[in-house]
Amino acid sequence: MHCHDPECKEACPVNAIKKFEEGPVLIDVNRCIGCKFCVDACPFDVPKFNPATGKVDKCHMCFDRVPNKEPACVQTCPTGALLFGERQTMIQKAMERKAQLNGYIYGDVDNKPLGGTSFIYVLKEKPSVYGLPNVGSTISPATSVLRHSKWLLIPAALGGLMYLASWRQRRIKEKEE
Amino acid sequence: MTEDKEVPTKKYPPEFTITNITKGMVRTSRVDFLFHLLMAILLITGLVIDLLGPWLGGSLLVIRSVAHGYVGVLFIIVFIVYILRIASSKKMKMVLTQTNTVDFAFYIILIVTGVMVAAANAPWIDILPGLAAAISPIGAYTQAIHVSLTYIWVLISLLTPSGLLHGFACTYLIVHFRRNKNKSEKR
Repeated sequence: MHCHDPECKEACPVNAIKKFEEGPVLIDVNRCIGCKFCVDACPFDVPKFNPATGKVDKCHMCFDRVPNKEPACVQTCPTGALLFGERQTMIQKAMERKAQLNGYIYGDVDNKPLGGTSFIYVLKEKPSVYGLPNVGSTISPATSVLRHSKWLLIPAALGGLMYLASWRQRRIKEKEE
Repeated sequence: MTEDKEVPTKKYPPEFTITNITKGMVRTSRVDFLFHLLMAILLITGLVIDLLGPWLGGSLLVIRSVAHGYVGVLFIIVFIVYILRIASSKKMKMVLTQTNTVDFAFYIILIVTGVMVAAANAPWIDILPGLAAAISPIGAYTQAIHVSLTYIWVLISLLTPSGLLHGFACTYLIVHFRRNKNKSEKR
């Protein structure tokens, strides 16, 4: 989905996932350690773990074709259901189509899952009818815990040092006695 | 003619060195030694992945898959044997403290969540293909629990005299006694 604030990027412990200004969210396969934290963090179930390679893969928005060519899926779609272009232009087109269909926009305008996605769907029915998840605009508490729990090491280290200091004082007192 | 036989001399008490301590631990209980060794490996590799991941990147693949993954499987087997030993031994039960019991509860949760995280990996996905699919809806929570609980365990075991502090204390005693022994020998 190439989200604006990708949850998979937050979950990755080795910073193998990068968000580019142009839109794509890419996985650096050389950095990936196959922990699958991104697979489970993504609410859209986009990254897929490959047991054969032991690494995770996902759509890379054909970054090696763009901007000279359109992404392969857009070029090959037989019904022309996919469009590719500048974000604002695409949003404008989506809003026009939404008005025609009296439908819904998923990914931006109506709701912005994870800050808005680079894939924007124009739907006739509500997004839930198509199995699209209801995702909040910020990362989930589980990923937040995963990302920030390492800070517990600070009170742990402080507690350990305090314990060590009190134990040392006790030892000195015992020796004096 | 009688030949003088050389009688091997043994020092008592034995030298307080890391080698002797390790030998002693192995001799006392192989399972106990393995349990602590594997736990230390898993804790260190887990912390390395989470804390040094942004710097070490892809080089951690082997550590994640072998030193944390396969060693984890070995740890589960040793842990089961260890628990069975404790359950079947009156002596072991007598020395079991409340903190040990709490520690075991921590380990069980870490083992369960660790298995759930690893379920989609080869070869487990081939052996139990349904497991990964069954637990995928709660996948994000299992990882969060696995990682955060480790840090909570580190925190608790440093604030109360258990787990990690117990390990540090044992290491300190070994090093400290060794240093004292060296000093007394010099005198």
